[in-house]
Amino acid sequence: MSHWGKKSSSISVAIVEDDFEIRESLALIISGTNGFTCANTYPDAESALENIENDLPDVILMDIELPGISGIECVRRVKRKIPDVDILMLTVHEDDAVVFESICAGACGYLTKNTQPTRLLEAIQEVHDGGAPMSTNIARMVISSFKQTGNSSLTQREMEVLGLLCKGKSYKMIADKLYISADTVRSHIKSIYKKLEVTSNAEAVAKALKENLVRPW
Amino acid sequence: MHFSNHFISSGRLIILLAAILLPAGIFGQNGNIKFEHLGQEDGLNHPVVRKIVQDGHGFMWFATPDGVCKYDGYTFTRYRHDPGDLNSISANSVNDIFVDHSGTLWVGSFDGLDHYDRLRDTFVTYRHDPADPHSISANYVSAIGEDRSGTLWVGTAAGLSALKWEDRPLKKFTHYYARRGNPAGLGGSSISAIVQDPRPGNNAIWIGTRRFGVNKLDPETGRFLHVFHPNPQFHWMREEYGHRLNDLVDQLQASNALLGAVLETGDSLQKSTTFEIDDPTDILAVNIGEGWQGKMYDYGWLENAETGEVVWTATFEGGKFAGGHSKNRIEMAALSLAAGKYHLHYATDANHSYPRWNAVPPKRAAEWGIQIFKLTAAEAVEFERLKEDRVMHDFISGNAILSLYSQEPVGPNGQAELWVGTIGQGLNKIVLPATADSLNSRKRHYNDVDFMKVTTFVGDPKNPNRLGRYAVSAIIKSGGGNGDQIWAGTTSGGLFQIQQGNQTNAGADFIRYTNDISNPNSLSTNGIYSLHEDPSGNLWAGTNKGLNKLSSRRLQFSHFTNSNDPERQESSLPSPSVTAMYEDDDGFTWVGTSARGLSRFNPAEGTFMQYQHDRSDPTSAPYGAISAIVEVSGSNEALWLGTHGAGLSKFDKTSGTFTHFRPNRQNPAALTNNNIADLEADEDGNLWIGIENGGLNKFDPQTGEVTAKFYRPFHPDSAAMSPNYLFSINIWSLRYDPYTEDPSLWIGSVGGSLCNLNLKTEKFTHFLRDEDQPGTINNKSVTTIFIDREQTLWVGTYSGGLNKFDRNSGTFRHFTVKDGLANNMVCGILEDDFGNLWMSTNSGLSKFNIATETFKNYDVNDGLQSDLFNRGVFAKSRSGKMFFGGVNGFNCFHPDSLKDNLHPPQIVLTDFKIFDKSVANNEESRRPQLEAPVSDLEEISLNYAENFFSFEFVALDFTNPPKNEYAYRLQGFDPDWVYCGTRRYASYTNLDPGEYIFQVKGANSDGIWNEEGISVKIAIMPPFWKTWWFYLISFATLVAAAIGFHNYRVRVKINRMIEIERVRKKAAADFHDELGHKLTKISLFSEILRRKMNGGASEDVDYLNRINDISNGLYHGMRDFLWTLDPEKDSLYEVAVRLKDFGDEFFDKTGISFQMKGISGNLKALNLTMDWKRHIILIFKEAMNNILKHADCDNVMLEIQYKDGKLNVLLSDDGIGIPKLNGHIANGKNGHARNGGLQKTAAVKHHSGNGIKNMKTRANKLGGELVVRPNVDYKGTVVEFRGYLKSLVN
Repeated sequence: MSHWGKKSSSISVAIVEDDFEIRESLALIISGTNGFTCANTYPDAESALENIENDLPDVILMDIELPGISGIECVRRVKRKIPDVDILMLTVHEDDAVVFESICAGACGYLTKNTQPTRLLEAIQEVHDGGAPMSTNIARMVISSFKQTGNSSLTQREMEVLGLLCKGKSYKMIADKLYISADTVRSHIKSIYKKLEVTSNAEAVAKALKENLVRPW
Repeated sequence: MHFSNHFISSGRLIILLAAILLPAGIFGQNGNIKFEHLGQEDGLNHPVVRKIVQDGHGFMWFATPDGVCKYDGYTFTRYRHDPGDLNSISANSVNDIFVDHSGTLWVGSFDGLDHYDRLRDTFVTYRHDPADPHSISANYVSAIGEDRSGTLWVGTAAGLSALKWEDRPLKKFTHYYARRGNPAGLGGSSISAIVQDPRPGNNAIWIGTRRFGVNKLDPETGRFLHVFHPNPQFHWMREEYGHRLNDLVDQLQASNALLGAVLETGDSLQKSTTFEIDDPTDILAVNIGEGWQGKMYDYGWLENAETGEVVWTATFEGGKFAGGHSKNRIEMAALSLAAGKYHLHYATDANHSYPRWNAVPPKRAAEWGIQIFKLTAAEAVEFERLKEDRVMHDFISGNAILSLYSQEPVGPNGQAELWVGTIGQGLNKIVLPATADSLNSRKRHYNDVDFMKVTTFVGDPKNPNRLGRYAVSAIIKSGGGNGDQIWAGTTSGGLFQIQQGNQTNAGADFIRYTNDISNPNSLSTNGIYSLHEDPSGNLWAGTNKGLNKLSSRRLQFSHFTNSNDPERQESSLPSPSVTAMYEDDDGFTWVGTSARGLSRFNPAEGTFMQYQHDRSDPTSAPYGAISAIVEVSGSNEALWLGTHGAGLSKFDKTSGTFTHFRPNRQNPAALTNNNIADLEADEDGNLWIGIENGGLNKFDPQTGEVTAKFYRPFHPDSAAMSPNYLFSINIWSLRYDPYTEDPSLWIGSVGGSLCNLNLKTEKFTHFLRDEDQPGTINNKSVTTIFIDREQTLWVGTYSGGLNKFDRNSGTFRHFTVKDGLANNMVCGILEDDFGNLWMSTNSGLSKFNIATETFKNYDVNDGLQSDLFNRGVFAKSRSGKMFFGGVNGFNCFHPDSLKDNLHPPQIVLTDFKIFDKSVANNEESRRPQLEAPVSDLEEISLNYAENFFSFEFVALDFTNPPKNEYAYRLQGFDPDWVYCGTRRYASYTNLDPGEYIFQVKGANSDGIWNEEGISVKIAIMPPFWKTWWFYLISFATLVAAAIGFHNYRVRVKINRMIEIERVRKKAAADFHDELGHKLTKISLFSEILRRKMNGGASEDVDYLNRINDISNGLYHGMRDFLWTLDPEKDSLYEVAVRLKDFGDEFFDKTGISFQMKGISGNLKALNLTMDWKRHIILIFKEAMNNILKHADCDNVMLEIQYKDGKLNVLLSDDGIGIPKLNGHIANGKNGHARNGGLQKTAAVKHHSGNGIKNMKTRANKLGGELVVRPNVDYKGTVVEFRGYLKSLVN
């Protein structure tokens, strides 16, 4: 869990986005909202990687399609520098493969760019508080990926959560079924993400993608 | 030597004595060596080749008086001066070319220095500019070299110019001019050669001058050191070299070692002094005085006072130059004296410069006279060493230097050598001391000279063709062939090779190669200007008559033929066409030729003794071609010769006489006819005679009578395959076979293939060709038969290649040109010790590995006598040497010594063509990627219309370029490598747009592949109707219609899009990104605006919200639409997952629990059309919307049921249900849906009403129905879609 020790009450957010207008608008909105500050904005992965350790944000909004180093690679490198940072991918279209790759790289969720600004802020808050969304397709890929790697480090509970997700249960349903709170479900999912990041090797991911993935475009 | 006695006594032979021991230095040209020629007829631009170099890519470059020329093994590219083109070379007459460490080619011409800009294929010229002191010192460039620090050194008409690596961009030269009298300066300005110091780590250069010997320059000190021949003009230089001995004298004086001295001298003086020693002592006598023309005028001697014996006298010869005027001499002599008293005498002449010094005084002017020093043992040794160095090794043989060659030490005991070629004074080898030694020694810059050892090679003074007569224009050490050899090219005396191991004495043996008009394989001329060895070991000579190449395999096949040169008769055959060969038990090889009889070859000496036909002598050799030679078992005193035209002859080796056996119609025991094709002896002592058109004769050598004749009766229709008769009487070959059940004879004939004669029963078994029978022999005519050590019978045929006979099954296997055999006419077969058959054919030599059944072929370029061999002419010596004869003599080789060229060749692209038009080497059509030379091409993109293109490439191995082989592959098109043999291009047409990688690899003529090869990326751009912008435009058009959504045309267009799946995917993605970004911006901007308004007029905010809603709706609509288009998402499963994900997100945080039932993998098999996908998604999204807005429920469940084509999708909630009018709605007749929240606002009401109507319309469009009914189990509502999927299942 990131920055529990940090006293700062506002969430510091960095934005990596190549489109100037989107980047600056997001920054304006975030810094104009109570409880959020914008740590910095970067037009590309390279400048992000250069400065991120100085800016030390709590959450990074990361565009997937960046010029030069891709957003996914950027996630991988940022996580090496700051393992605790939460990264939300920003994507125009929901490409399960790309999203899954991002998660394997260390992202803990994704948002479509068009997400309503208020919802976006909520998502940042959520992820900062330990939550992470997971869709059915992603859940299926996660399971497959763990099967590929062979050594499932998932706990029983985490497996249950994943299994229910795959069957199409909502967080709420899962929470009810397992007698836990929805927030706990979210934190389980986040934990799964973390383990995925640690255990997934490139080959397993590739295989998982090949077998399960449906590329939208 | 009983042998030669007999010859002499017989007096009937032409004896060409073989074993003359050739005196040193006059070994003649060895007939084995073949030079290949390349001249103007091959494309060389000028016959004179002044210099040969090879650049970093492996291309060869030639300097000529008409520009420079590049060669890739196939074609020559010339570069000439063009007065109108500043980028051409500075002048056509090129003196020197040089490749520096960076691979840059430099050209020195009559009018400037150039470097070659490979990227632009142009030359950059450096010329003298009187206004610029840093320009090159003169335009005439005679030599170019480079030191180990990368400084380029250029010999010009004005001296030496240096271009430092870091000064190259500025073209800033430093100059060294010759200054006479400066012992540390450049000796002379006419520079012929510049080479690096051979010692690794030593940065010096050595400069050959036309008049002043060799100069060494140490660039760090700027000092020159001179290595020269001591003729008078060198006095000023020689002065330098007394230093070390002077030092010794200084040392002796300082240590009070003086025993006695007479130093007071004048005209006509005679003075003496006396000294005494108690013990035997080593002394040094130092005498300084005048001497001239071999005589000392001031000199002294030492006399034993007791005995009167003169123990030492100063002589001119014992002395050396003492500095100052040339007649000043110093002699130093060390000797051991017994104990006793000695008189030292000194005498001067009457005409004397001392002490007035009317000429330049000597170095030690104050010591004019004589001194005797006592020497310690160590000093005595040191003196001898210094003296020896001085006397033996200081000088080279001439000062007119034409060539230098720098040889780095090879191996741990290798020595650094500098080879110096002079004009008319031979060749000098200077062995240089290791650098470390000279650094440790105490003296300064001349230490190399103090320690270097010079050996001079001039050749035997008695030999008029000695090396010393000629000007040595080029020197090279070659590793090819038998180890290291030094080759020296001369400007008029041909090529000299110093024999290995004989490089130490001046009279070393040379092999000299010259032009021999009667031998087309000799040097093309005796005027040689340059030498070069390529990485494969081929030696190249640039001459005044083209290029001569000595193949690296030059020594593998010895070749002997006849020569018209009377001097070479002893190593010459009497006639070139060899028709029979045989090795006897004495180790001689007997050679029969088509004319002039029999020759005995001595393989050890490479010489021949000839036995010729003499009409007047009935016991002389037979007339006509000798077609077969054998010995009969039990008698090695005689050879039996079969001839073509003269019957059978017996040669008595002891007497040297011949006995002849001829056909005789009257005598049934005589031969059938005169034309013998083959002879074979059996183990019972019979001689079997195969006769052309005469069948088979069995001959008893003891009686000289034919004991049996085998033939075929004249019209023997019924006897065609009779065991009693031959099938064909035109016999070509015989082979005795001891391995058959009874000993037998194999007979090969023309027309009758092969038959076997059982020698016991004398019955024939025939093996004829039968085209319908696959296992039969494949040719009617058998040329040669061979039985290998595994007893396998091999049959060479006239046009069917090689046949392998299986003794068990009686069947034949065939090996022909298709399998790799050189030619289908096999002339002879031999076997080596490694399981290979060697076959001479009508097109060279084939080596056949019996185990792997693979062939390797050799041709005339490998050193064969010719590609044409003669039938049945082969022999193998006991040492394993093989002989094969043909139309131009015979080859002799040992299979062990045939070494492959293991140097993998460099591969280079030479051209790239589009529509058969060069775009690489053509200025006009050159494109951006091809600004660099085609050999640097790494990737290229072509437009759609240009997909007819070809590559040309070469493997730069010059051993035998026509036999270099190639393979290529276009990754993305060719599934595998295309082995194209010797073809050097690859063409492709009609490739689809996309990315490819073209790869080429190549092999040298020995099949050694450069597996890495080279590769080029090729991108073929799609035509405009497949480009992204076209996709975008098309798609935008579609979207314009699609936004309306209700239009049927959408469907039509969508269907079209399905047909171009890729189009739609790519374009949709682009469009989606674009739209997504723009909508995102709208959304963000309106949010910002809202915040700026800070809760202003609610109406304005409302508008903002509506903008936001609309853009959001548009975005989601877009997403749904694109999702619908995605062919990957065509299954019912995907629809379910999408609805589920939507539901999850939609109800998240609303307090409503959403769950899904019925998602299973089975649904993946059910494909939906886009219509179905779209409508179902939209129906249930709308329905969920309604639930959220109106139902006020806690749980929502979406369930998918599918069975036998029937699809039900149910969305149920436990909300407030449908209050009234639900019947209406459920029946779908009319009216508006009404439920709890409907009254909230008019807008919602309207929307909602339309919502249900829309949902129903959509269901109807799918041929299904939509029912809205109360939930039976709960209090809420169920929206149910029912439809039939059957017809839609794929």
